[in-house]
Amino acid sequence: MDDQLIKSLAAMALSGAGCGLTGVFVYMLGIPFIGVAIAHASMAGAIWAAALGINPKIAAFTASLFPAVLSGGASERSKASVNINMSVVFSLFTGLAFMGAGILPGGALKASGYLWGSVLLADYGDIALLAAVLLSIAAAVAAFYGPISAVLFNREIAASTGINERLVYQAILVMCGAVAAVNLSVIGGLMLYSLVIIPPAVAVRFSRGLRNFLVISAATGAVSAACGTFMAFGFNLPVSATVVLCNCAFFGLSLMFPGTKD
Amino acid sequence: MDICVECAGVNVKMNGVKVLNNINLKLSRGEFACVVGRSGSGKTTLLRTLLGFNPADSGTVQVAGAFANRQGIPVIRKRTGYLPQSLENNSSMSPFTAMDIINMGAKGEKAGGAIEELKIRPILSRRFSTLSGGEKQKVLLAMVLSRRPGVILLDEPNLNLDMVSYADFLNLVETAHRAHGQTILLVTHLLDRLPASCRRIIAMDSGRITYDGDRKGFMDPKMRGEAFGG
Repeated sequence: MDDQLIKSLAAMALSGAGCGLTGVFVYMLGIPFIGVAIAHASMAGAIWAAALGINPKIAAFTASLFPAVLSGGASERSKASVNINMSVVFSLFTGLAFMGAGILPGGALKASGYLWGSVLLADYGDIALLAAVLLSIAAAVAAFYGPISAVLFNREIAASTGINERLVYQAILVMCGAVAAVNLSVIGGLMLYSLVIIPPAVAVRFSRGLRNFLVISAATGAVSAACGTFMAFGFNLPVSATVVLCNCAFFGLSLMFPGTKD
Repeated sequence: MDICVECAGVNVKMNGVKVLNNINLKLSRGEFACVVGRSGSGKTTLLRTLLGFNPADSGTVQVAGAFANRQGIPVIRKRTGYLPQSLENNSSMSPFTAMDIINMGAKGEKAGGAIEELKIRPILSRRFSTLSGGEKQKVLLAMVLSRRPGVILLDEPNLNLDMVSYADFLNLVETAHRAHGQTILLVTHLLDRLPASCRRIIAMDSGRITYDGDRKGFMDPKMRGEAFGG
């Protein structure tokens, strides 16, 4: 098998698993827009970092954490839903990203790179980073499973039991941001959204219990991303688009099967 | 008398409006009291103030031996069980099973005890989102009871329940109260569906306590009329 195919498959499978895992948080908290907001924040960070001579990956990662933290904090003050505040943050960073694309030398090219990703250029360093982040998130979920599941069920009830619900909620948003940031350069902002949203939408029908849901969503993300990548290589298709369509096909296919009975 | 819940001169403002006005209240350990009143009278705000969700602008709040301040609120919440008026879940289909919900309160023997007490073993493996209103309330009650709190706050548990299911639920609450002796504060607007164990009525109107006494006295129509500003 072609070495680049192996690396791309590994990168996409890990991306799919990581996005599928944190996709459960996005699904349970009802904040699907976070993927889009984070993608544009990362893009803004990378574009401006390149102009300032800062490592664009670190800047993208740092910037990607802002939507989660800002919108969570804004929700506390404005009492509007997280999605509303996420939309405002998305607008802010989209403006910054395309401002940079417009006025910085080479900005448009950099913006394009973060929008589409570069899975074909994935190297073992990227794979190692993706694996490390996935394992870290999984370990964090395992270690703090009780508080996390309570917050995902109902924030008020979680708070009423003495859990520091705000801290857990912010930590969940930061985990979502961190996974999105490290996956962005590999899979791009457009694919990120589908890998975060679709695996949990597939998995929830076949899951009983949160642990089950997490595992099935991560597995669905990994398999659908790997299948899409394999097909793209086999038929010489754009990888991003093929993975997105493969994800959608998985969702459509899942509807043909009866879900878990109660 | 061992005081378990105490409010002294508590005032709470929300968006510039006084929603709790000079609340003075004492509940003894093991007491079962009902808070009654019209919608908007401040009943839910009272419960949320006890838990620190709506901080008091003045006065003191003490629950289960802790003051409702920055340090005390986490302690209060660990010692108090709370069923909110409604659950706002973000997703229409949720994977949580009934057992998952109960385990958010406690696991092992404590959870098992609550499950047997409420006789909900047959529904443990079912998804919580597919349960009936009455079954959901029982699961949430089991979650609360499994924590073995000293104080239980119930906010209009009758919502989304038919009268038969509500009567069943109240029966379970009273059975648990007889068995474990928690201090219970039940908010309800159903004056004709008060639990038999409830000896004390606290009536609220426009953020004030307008009646605080025994159940027999509250049943007097004149007293009730005065309590609700009529």
